[in-house]
Amino acid sequence: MEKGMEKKEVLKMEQVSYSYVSRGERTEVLEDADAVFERGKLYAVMGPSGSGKTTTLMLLGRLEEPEKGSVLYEGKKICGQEAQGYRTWHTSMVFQAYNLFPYLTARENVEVSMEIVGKKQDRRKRAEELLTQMGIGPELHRKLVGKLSGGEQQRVAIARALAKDADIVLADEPTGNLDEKNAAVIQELFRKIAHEMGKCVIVATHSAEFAKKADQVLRMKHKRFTVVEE
Amino acid sequence: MKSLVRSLKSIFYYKYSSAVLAAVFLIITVLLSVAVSVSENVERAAKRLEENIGADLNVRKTEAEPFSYYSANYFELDKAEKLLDIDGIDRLEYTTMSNATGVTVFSVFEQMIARKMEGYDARYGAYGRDYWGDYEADGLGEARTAGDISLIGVFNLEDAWEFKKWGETVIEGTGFTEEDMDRPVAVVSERFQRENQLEIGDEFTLADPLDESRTLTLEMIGVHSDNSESDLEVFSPVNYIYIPAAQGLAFSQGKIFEAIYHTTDPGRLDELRDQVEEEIEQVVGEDFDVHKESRMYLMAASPLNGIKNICGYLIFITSAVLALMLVLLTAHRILNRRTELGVWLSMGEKKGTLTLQLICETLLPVFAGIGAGAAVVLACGGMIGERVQAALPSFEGVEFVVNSGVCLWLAPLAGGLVAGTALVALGSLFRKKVRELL
Ligand SMILES: Nc1ncnc2c1ncn2[C@@H]1O[C@H](COP(=O)(O)OP(=O)(O)O)[C@@H](O)[C@H]1O
Ligand SMILES: [Mg+2]
Repeated sequence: MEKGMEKKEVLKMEQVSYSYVSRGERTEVLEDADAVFERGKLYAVMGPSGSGKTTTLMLLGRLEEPEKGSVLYEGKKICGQEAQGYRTWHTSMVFQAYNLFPYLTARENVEVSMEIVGKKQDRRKRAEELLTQMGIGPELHRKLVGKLSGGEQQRVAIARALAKDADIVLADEPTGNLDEKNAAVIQELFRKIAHEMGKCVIVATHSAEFAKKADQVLRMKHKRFTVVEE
Repeated sequence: MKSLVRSLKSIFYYKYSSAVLAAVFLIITVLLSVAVSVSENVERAAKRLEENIGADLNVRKTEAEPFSYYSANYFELDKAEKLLDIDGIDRLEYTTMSNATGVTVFSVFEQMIARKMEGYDARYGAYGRDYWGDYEADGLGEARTAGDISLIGVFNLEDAWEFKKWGETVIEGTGFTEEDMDRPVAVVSERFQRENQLEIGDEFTLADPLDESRTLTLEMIGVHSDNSESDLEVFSPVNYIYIPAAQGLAFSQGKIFEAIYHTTDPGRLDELRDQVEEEIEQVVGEDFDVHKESRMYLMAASPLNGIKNICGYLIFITSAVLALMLVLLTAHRILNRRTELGVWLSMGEKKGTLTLQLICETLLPVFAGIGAGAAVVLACGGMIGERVQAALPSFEGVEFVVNSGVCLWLAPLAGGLVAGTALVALGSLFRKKVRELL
């Protein structure tokens, strides 16, 4: 399938409301929030701590269900039973704490992602390709991930996220644990993934640097998104 | 397959935890093997002891007072021997009892009378029937004229009823040895010895009061203590002279006072008791009392049973602690992986694959430990057995072996516990939203 043939708009939030209820207390996080995401673009969801960035990613990744409104994938509402399939086939997540499997090597961490979705291709070759693309040299491919630096680990995590070839990449503060230099590398990788691989990349961050690289910034304000075009 | 490969990788990654788990199970397998083997072998030793010591059934005519050995209570050994056909009865011993009159010695009773006859030297003077008139004058009755020494034929002095009852001991010389059983030897009471001024090795002669031509010359080889407290000196055990059973049987002309049936199967003692009672009454045609005597067996078996009980507790406690430890450990290992499980699930991994992986991660080291323990037991079982045998002398004669049979229940038990706990722990995690795990 050629990139040009694909519809650009891939993900959409329509009038989404979401609130947490804990110990009888209700925290409204989103209220009638709208947003549109396209392939080939890098999005930064910005806002102070507790403003609802993580919640937004969870809703987009369908790890949470909207209370009101809907999340649409390629124009179709994702129903309850479809959530698992959507999550598995169409989204990948990158976490602040990398969350790699410590007992697997860098390459194996990437391979298992393909294993899960049953990709028949030469997984080892593809994993090595991806790692190299993310700037992880071959000498690190066979190391346990615990031996790698934070920046390297996050790059392995990104390679893992790309391995199953989902069109949406969701990243929750992926540079939160990294120093500026490493953060800059990761930010650049995300930009490439969006622009060169044609993925829809949505990053929750409060880094202004990151925001500068994004094609669009969604600022969380009054439980909604305010779009700032860069 | 995926699960197994991942679990192996995880086991090697968490190598200390896995190694400790395996080591614990190795040690536990060896310990349990020893405890179970000790328990099994103790059981065999107890069984053997049971057969060796067995138990006795003492059979006397109903009228027979334990103290009074009257002629009316005698019965033929021939008849008693018929009961040897009973299945479970494997040996017959007996006690004989005959009245006797002293020829070269006085009975203690006669001494008492003799002292009353002033100036009469009982030891050196002639004595015999002439005196019975005077006994009667003392109001003692004619019954005594039948001879007032009791000759008791026994297989084993220490087991003789009267001897045991008064807690007598041999205080000078010896009791009967194996060789003595065919010789005319005697063990007398201290008072009898004193009154007759006998020394160890002295011989004395007794006669059948009903036929004085029937005499028996005995060598005194031992003297027993004299703890009895009888008012009537005639009935007092101070007048009992113990002799080997065969000598007693010859003097009593084939009659016995008590039959002692021995069984190597004390477990069936009650059943045998009824059978013996029924049959002896039928054979002899009179009423009998049958008493069980299994104290010896119980006494000898009690330390063995003690060991067996201790082993039982040990096995139970070890197993219980083990089970608890395994449940807690498995739960801990799984709940610790909460975030990782969330990541796997968010990536779309199947719950079944993850469950299998986590079960294997705990179970493989456990099985490895049990396997290594079994190997240690196989390799060193003989040596461990020797050590234990040396420490527990009661096992003499029982070949002590430590086998790894415990693995047959230890492995499934551990497997079941790990799998069960894993399913419960994972169930509690999988019920949550993936988001909550991350
Ligand atoms: N599981 C939860 N239960 C109750 N309240 C929650 C829960 N998770 C987040 N919240 C609340 O929801 C709001 C948004 O949280 P979050 O999306 O994590 O914000 P951010 O990622 O921007 O820091 C915060 O006020 C937070 O306290
Ligand atoms: Mg957050």
